[in-house]
Amino acid sequence: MKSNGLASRHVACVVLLLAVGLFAACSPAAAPSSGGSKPGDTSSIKKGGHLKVSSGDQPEGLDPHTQQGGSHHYLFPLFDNLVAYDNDAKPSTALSLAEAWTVKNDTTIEFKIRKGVKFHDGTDLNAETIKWNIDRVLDPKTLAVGRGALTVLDRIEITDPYTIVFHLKEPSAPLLLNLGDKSGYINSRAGVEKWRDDYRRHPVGSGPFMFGEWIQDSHIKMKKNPDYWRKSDTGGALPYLDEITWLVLPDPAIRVAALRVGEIDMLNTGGLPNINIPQFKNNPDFTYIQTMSGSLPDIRINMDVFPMNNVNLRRAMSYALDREAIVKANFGELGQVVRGPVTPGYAWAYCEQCIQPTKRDLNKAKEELAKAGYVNGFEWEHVLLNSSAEARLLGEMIQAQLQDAGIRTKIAVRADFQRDFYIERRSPSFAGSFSDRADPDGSFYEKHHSKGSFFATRDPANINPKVDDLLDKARLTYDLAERKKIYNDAEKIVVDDVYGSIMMAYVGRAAALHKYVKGYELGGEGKGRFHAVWLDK
Amino acid sequence: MDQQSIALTTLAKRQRRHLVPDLLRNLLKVRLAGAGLAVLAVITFCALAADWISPYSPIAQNTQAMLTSPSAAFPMGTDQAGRDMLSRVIFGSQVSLQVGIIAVGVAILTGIPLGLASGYYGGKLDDVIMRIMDAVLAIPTIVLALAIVAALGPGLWNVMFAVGVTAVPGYARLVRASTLSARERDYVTAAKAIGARAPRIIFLHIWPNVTAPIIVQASLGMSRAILAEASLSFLGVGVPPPTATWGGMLNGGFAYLELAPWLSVFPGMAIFVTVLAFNFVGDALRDVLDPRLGRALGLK
Amino acid sequence: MRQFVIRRLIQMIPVVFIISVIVFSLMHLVPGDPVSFMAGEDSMNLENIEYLRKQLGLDKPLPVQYALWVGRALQGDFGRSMRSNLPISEEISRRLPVTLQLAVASLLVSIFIGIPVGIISAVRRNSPLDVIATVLSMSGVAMPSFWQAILLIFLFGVTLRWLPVAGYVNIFDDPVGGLRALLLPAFVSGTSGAAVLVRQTRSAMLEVMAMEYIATARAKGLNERRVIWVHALKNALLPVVTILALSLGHILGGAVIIETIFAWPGLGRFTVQAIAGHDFQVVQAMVLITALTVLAANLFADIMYGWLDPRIQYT
Repeated sequence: MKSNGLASRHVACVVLLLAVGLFAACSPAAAPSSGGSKPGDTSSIKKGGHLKVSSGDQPEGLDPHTQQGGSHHYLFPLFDNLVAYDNDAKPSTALSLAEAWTVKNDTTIEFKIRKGVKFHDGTDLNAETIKWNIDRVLDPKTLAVGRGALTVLDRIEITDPYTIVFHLKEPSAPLLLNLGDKSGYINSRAGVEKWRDDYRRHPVGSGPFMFGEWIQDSHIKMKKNPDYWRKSDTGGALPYLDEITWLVLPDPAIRVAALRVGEIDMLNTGGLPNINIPQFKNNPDFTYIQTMSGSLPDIRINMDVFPMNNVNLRRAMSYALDREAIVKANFGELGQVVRGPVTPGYAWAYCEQCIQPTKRDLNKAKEELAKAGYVNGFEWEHVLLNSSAEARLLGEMIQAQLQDAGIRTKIAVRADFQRDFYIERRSPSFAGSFSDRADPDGSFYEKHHSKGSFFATRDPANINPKVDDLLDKARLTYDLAERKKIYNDAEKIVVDDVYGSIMMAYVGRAAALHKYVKGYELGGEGKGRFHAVWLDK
Repeated sequence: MDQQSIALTTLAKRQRRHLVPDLLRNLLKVRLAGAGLAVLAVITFCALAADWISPYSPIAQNTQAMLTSPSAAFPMGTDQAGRDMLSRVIFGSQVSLQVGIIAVGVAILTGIPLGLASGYYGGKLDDVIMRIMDAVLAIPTIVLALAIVAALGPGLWNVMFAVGVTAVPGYARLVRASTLSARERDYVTAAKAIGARAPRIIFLHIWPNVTAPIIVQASLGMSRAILAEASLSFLGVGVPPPTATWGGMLNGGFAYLELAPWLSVFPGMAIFVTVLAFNFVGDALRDVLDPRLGRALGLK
Repeated sequence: MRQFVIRRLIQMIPVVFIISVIVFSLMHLVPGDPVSFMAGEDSMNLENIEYLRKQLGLDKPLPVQYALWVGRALQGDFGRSMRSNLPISEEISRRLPVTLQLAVASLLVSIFIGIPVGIISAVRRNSPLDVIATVLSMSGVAMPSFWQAILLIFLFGVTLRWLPVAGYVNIFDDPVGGLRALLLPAFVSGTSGAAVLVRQTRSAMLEVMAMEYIATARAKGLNERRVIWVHALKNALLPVVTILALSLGHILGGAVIIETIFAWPGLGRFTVQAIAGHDFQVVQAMVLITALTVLAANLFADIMYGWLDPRIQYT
């Protein structure tokens, strides 16, 4: 491949992204916004201050490589990524630890690492530490969540102290964006080696804030990093805040009450229950920010187990669901009826026209049941992960809706669903929810490709090779338009055959801030950024 | 008049001053107990006749009427899934009564034999049984119930069993105390003397002394069980879906306290009223079945 | 007296042993071992599960596991919490002051509300105050504590804005803030205890007063009132003291709910989360320690009882 050809393709990518970004900004599935003052206006910024925020419950650990679930809000203030993206979900060198990268050819990317960046413990950040971090993610013993995205790496070459070259086994379009997500967080090697098993309670990164203390069940404190490498648009030092305290408040009613009375300054994404959104949305005392990028709740299925091993039964269930009612009751303002696995959060790949939401149709449901030979319905068991009020509500709605088609659902609550579903492979399903990743490959591949980490079906008779092919192809090309077409084709098959998951909704994220909290940005992937936050009081 | 007479007259005067109010108080107690019984009758009726008297099915979801406030069509409003709250509260009474009966049943069926054996035979058996009861008592009830439900898995029966187990030591001790005092009575000694066998003695002579305190304890135990189910639901280990329970509804309605208070107010009131009813009835029973207590406490 | 205490302490040993067996069985004799709950979505291969199982000693036969646990526990080593990977003894020592604050504060609330109201109720029998007190104490017992808590939070925290809504403030770092944060939780936790105390104090006082009237009616001398009061109180307090010590178990149980609602990082919440997360070593440790505390409180109550009432002889 001529390097020139790729460079112009690169430019085409960027142009395309910009075009798509503009388009996306005009549609309801909008790009995220920021709250507060314009970037250039630094005269009125008050330095210092102590921000109190809550994101609900605490994470199980602050090690960015192993952290499960969607508790990334806690990681963004502490860590930087090799490749970071801006608020429109585009990779941006200004925000990354790599100050430049060149795609030398389809399978070679060279990164130039920013000089002078120090970790919170004073150690240097250079090519060696980056390589060490990538190796750590790839090491099976780390049990890193972002490992799958990096297996495409063949080897890593360090050509000088601040230059690192990735040699890939094959072209990988998602790689750059994945490096902005779970796979590319950079930790201090000295820190990890010092704390070892306890590292997840003593994280050491290079981000705008340093870890202070974590009192289990009470709070997490982060202090300003005085040597933070990023500067504001006018060249001033960042961050502005002196301290951030994350309060652990698992009860949603209490959390909202605390925000209302000013005991906390803001509720971050994950902390604001969607039923309380109307209280803050048009409230003059608060700033409300929303993004449609978030998660996709579904019924994750194992197609080897009855009734999921029969495509007609799957279709019957899908037709019996009243997704609009589910969205309205469970997700409120933040919910949208689902189309396919590509969520509106992946703005460049999302295609509203290409695929329509599945509307409830009890006649079609009964038809599919008849085709499968189950005219009088059937019985099956659905697993909830816990007995929380939210899980119950969703489970009960599904149960009642399926009942209308004659499908009898028994609901079981099982905390050890993973063993049941992935290892012993007894359950046909569980109530899942998948957070958006940086690249649609992250969700689509992992849930619907036969080699995906969250795909439970093993029997080749139940696996669709066409889907596998399409998803593989989508990784190999860097052309966004082409990738979009491939994903849309794959979506059609997945939705038609209800393959891998019975999807329900797109759920966005929202944050509510007191009016005096300025400078908060809700990034393209739905995670809040605090480096430019200041308190106007 | 001598000192004693003066004193006795003063005493009499003082008692008389309280005579009427005390009578009224007793009347009130009787009234309250009556009210309690009436409430319990209503609730039992609801539980038994739920299918007939509730306007809708408790799990029927009406997508047109989600989260509506109380109205003519839905006297207690609807919840987020469009389910009628009145019907759910009515059906919830089934679960609450079931929980109470089974939990108390488990406790009684286990506690009585243990208490009888312990009290009657005494000795080593008594020691062992009482030590085990001490052990169970030493563990805070909620923690023990939580651990049992976590061990057995969620489910209506497991919840009831767990709540029942935590109440066993109370009954065992009660029965043991009654057995001990009854054992020393003359008629028991006489029965033993003429060679009556233990089961006969226990059944004929000891048992009648035991029933009264058990009945009192049982009525109070019902309210304890209902409150326990609510707490377990709050902590997330209550009865799994789709059963509508008062505790589960209360828990689910909290997030909506300001937006849709009817979600938690009605089940909350149901719990409150039922528990009060059991308490009133239990108190009155205690006064009736053990008049000695009543007199010693000065016509409480 | 000393003999009595020693005898009781010796009697406690089999009880503690039984408790340990109960909690161990609950955690282990259950379908699905504790490790299966730990497997995260990505680490679900069998190799990791086996490794974890060996690390936690779950591959050994149950009696051996039990012996190992007890042996280590006697030395103060309760293992590590699976959630935080911290030693359990460390977690406990960090959370103990939090729950202790709550327990002491709610005991104080119970005492300072319950006893005076109970006494006044008894002395001014059937007065409006008595009636109100009785009604309130019956209501306090009839509402689930978490409901009370949420209503009070909304009343005092949101509507009136007098008190902080949630969160724990270390009273040693910030005495004023700490006290303010303590008020609501202590109040909610204390009122149910107060309700019981009111009725108990009232009945005890009434009983004693009835007897005292007759006794002093036969006595010569003045100061009838004072003798009644001193005597009555002293004897009425006896059952009250017992109730107080016994309610420790109640408070520890109630702490579970109060700490969850008010987001206090105490032992109660710790235990609940451990049970939900199948963190079995934590559950075992907590049940054992709580039970020991309750038993100690019972012993203390008995000693107090004997000390307060010289008529009671302990052989």
